[in-house]
Amino acid sequence: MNLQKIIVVAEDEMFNGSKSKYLLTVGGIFIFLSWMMIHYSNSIISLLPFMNNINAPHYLILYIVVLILGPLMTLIASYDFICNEIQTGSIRYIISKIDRTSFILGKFLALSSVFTVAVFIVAVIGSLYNLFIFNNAFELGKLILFVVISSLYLNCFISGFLFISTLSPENKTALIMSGVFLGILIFALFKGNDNFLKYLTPYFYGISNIGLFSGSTHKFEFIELFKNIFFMIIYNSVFLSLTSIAIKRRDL
Amino acid sequence: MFLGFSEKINLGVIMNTKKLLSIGIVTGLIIVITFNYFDLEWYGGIIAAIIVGAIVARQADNSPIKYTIISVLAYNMIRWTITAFFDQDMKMIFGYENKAILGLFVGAVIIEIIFFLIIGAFSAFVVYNLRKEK
Repeated sequence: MNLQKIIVVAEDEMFNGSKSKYLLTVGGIFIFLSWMMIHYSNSIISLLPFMNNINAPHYLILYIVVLILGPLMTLIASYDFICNEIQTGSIRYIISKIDRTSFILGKFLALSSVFTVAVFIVAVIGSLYNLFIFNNAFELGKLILFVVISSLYLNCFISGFLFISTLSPENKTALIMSGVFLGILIFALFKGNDNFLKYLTPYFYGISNIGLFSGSTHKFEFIELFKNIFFMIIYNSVFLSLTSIAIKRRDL
Repeated sequence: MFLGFSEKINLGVIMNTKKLLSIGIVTGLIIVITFNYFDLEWYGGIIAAIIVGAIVARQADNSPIKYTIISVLAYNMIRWTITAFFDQDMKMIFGYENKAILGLFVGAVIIEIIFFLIIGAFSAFVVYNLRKEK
């Protein structure tokens, strides 16, 4: 593992690679959809009667968008990120110069950077709306918390989809299995309401933090936040380690 | 007695299929019944699906997902048939003329089985592709 090589792979994927345009387009679509949701956030909040007393609804709406739309966008962006290279054989040219773990981490860094930047842009747009249209005070703490939590939450899905992409022999299989993975997570969240299953899904850690954006931060227990962040980092690490093992075992 | 080369291969495939399915079904049944004994049906179903998927994927030469789906479906059907015949609580569902309760029960069971099939298939996919020798 070499940090310089990881950065080279990530840079190449983001700006010069065959999928860079596709990746940036998906990030752009995510920003556009989130912006539309901020624009109509007051109307959306009025549809939810239990959320009427929220002062600044844009962060809450944005967080709900990230919770629901984020996993789907990461699926679209990352399902064939590795298996496409294995299928076309272009991975052989990279693997001869860069070790496999650096290659995986570089890919992860590229996807993670694109979505972190997208989430940051969305948060800034939300803050501008909050400042100039809703005439509320600027909340830097909430902005930073939103970016950190959302990017960690999306990284959990990115690492999972990269793992599936590494295992799959074809793009079609990767897409189906990524969908199955997402389906299992959603079903485990709903079925695991009263048992341990919910702890296996990143959705649970994402939803636990919603209290930060739905009301005053004084009411939220920050020990919960640290616990959720810790478990999301563990989730990421486990899937990245599995991806690293999987790529080392594959015949390329 | 005097089998040709292709017939021997076919026989080998059939034997392998038989072995795979029987291992999958027996393992699944043992795990499910053990967890049922301790009133942990839901955990038992998930753990059984994961273990059966892993065992079948380690043994199968090709298409492990197909074998896992058949195994998981078979042991779940056996399990629910046994439950329907021998469980006293089943009289509440089958004993009355109310078809809506029966429909609701069968629907819930089918959804549960589909969920276990998906988990088993995913487990088989991961273990088969992590194998060094295929």
